[in-house]
Amino acid sequence: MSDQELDRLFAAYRDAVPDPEPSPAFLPKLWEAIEARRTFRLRFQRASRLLITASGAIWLAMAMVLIIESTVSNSRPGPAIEYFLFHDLSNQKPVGRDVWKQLFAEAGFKNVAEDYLSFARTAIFTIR
Amino acid sequence: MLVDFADIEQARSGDDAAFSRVVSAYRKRIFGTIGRLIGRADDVEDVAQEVFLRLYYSLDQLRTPEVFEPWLYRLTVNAAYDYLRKQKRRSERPMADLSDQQVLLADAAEGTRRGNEERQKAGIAELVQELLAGVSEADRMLLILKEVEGLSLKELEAIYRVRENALKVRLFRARQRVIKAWSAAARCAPGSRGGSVTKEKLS
Repeated sequence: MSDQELDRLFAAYRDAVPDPEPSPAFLPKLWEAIEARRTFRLRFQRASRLLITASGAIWLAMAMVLIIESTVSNSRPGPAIEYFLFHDLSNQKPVGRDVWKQLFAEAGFKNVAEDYLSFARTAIFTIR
Repeated sequence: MLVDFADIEQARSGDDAAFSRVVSAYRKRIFGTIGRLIGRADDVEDVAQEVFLRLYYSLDQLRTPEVFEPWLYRLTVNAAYDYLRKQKRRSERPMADLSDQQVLLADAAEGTRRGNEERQKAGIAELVQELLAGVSEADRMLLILKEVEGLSLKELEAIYRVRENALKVRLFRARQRVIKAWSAAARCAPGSRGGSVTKEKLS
């Protein structure tokens, strides 16, 4: 096949495949698609704005919770809160280290090691 | 240009009636180009919808109405690329089928002798599409735009945003590949009358 034959083949192809006639519904369908995309874009913009606002509010709320929590935990260490809460809910009085030692002794545990964490005002008893 | 610059300017500034005029003026031409680029008549309307949809939402980026046509062709080529990528059309149309297509073409030519012009046209379309399947998608589109759609190198330069010399080289290589594909197919199918039939039909 030569270049001239290829040119003739392309010309024949051009004649063989004429421009198809668009359907009468083409333009109405196009406008429907434009409207659908426009609506989607508007919804997406609204949703993104809402998301940005909500994430800002959530961030602010989380920051406040963290600040409050750090203030509380500075005054009372975590295990102490659980301890006091448990006793408060079960209407029991919180007891001190000496009472615990006495309770262990009465229960028959002779060898009980005590580690006192002064910074947390917490005692850990280990029965040996 | 098929429309006034004023229509394009108005459409760009959000005038829906002007946009409809632009679509009405170009749709037939764009349908034809898409049909030849993707080679599937059934999907032409869907791809054309996508082209004009993209046009609507990108018109505000058009610098001047003078470059409207290359802009529209660029959108058309890109939409055709996207379509072909989705369809993976090339894997469905292997070159091995070429000899069969030549036989079809020969049959089409016989039909022509019986006065069946439609069959002949279908045969030519099939043959060209199979020959073009032998080159890359990019080169195929370039060849169609230049050789079939009749766009000038200047217009192609604006569409592809590459230099004229680079386009010439690509076109030359693409043409050589098509010629080679034809020769290879003719060698593979010595019994087929494809080569002589085509010469006969094109003369």
